[in-house]
Amino acid sequence: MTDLKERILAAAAAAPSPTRAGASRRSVLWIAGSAASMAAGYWAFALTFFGWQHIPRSLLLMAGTSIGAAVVAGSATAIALGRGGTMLGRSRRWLIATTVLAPLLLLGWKLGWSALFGNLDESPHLGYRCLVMSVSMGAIPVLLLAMTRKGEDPRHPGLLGAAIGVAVGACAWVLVDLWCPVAGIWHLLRGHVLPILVLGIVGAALGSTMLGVRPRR
Amino acid sequence: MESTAHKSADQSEADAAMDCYAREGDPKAFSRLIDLLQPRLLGYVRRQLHGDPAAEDLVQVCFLKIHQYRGRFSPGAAVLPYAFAIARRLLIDKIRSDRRQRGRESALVTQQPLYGVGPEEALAQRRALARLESALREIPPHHREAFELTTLDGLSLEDAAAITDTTITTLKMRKHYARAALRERLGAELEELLR
Repeated sequence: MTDLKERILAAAAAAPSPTRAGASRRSVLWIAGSAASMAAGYWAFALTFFGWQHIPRSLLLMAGTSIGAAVVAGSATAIALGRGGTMLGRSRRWLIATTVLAPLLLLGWKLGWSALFGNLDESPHLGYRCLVMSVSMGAIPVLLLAMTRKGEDPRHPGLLGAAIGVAVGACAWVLVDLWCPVAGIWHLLRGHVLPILVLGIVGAALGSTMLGVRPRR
Repeated sequence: MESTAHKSADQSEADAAMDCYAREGDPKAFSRLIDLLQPRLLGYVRRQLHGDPAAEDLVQVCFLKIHQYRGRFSPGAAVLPYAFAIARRLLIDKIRSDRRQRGRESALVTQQPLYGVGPEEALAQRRALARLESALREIPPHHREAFELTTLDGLSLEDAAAITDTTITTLKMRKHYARAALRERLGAELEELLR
């Protein structure tokens, strides 16, 4: 027993790890990096590559859709990245609910609010630019945010990764929503919901490989 | 009751030691944490691995994971369920890897020596434990796990539910079914074995 304890202490002494202050600084860096990466992606696509959409929209319509989407995205991010006061992280039910409900709530809010303004027309644009923009903006942030929980989830790393991917997709939705005036259902499904699903799958794959507790890492 | 209160005090002390280690990196706090958690973790892992000598290595890895990610330990969080959940994950990985590599059937009987009893009593105890373990193997894994974590490892229902990622109600039901199934197989001997 004592021998085992000595082995553990010797191995721990040989592999220093950051204390809470150091780990918090690292997490802040990963989160800031992911926000900067998403902002850079938005600047590159929405303002430079595709160009700003000069289609007039009611300010109330735009503000309503964006604020509602921001509330959903913020909640999804808080649930995905938070641990709920325990070291085991969120339960399976919370993560599944976030992964499934976030895209549905975003879609429902966008359709509902736009319907109040009679703005549900389909566009000749099928939504591929929105799809490319969202996935490009979200891919690096998913990886960076996964780094904040790397190697520490003992229960369901794949599901945690999926929730992080969906949360990032929801954040991308908010930004793309400022750029894209279309609220037709098929456009939204292809250009806005599909990228959330893609980022969720990317997150699940990353989570399965990166976030779980593994003997050697 | 006294035993429960004692366990709670140990758990609070373990949480405080972990919090200190996460905040200040004091090796004495880690040493105290090992003293408090190691017997329970080792007992759990040894039983799951049926006396496999790899149990100590696995517990060592478990503590090193706690050390590696100490900086992410949330203030006020409980360390015991976290440690058990890590051990459980490592066990699952090891058992899967062993099955893949060797396709071996694990032994039914633990071969740990029983101290402080005479040879006849030791033999009787070992046989009784073998019957319990054999009966445990016949019940569904979820029921077995709920019974083991709460009854044999002495975890609270809340902690065991958190480790297995289920609700307390579900865990209680699983434990109840496990106990009923064991009573069916072992009869009155079950209560004697658990005493």
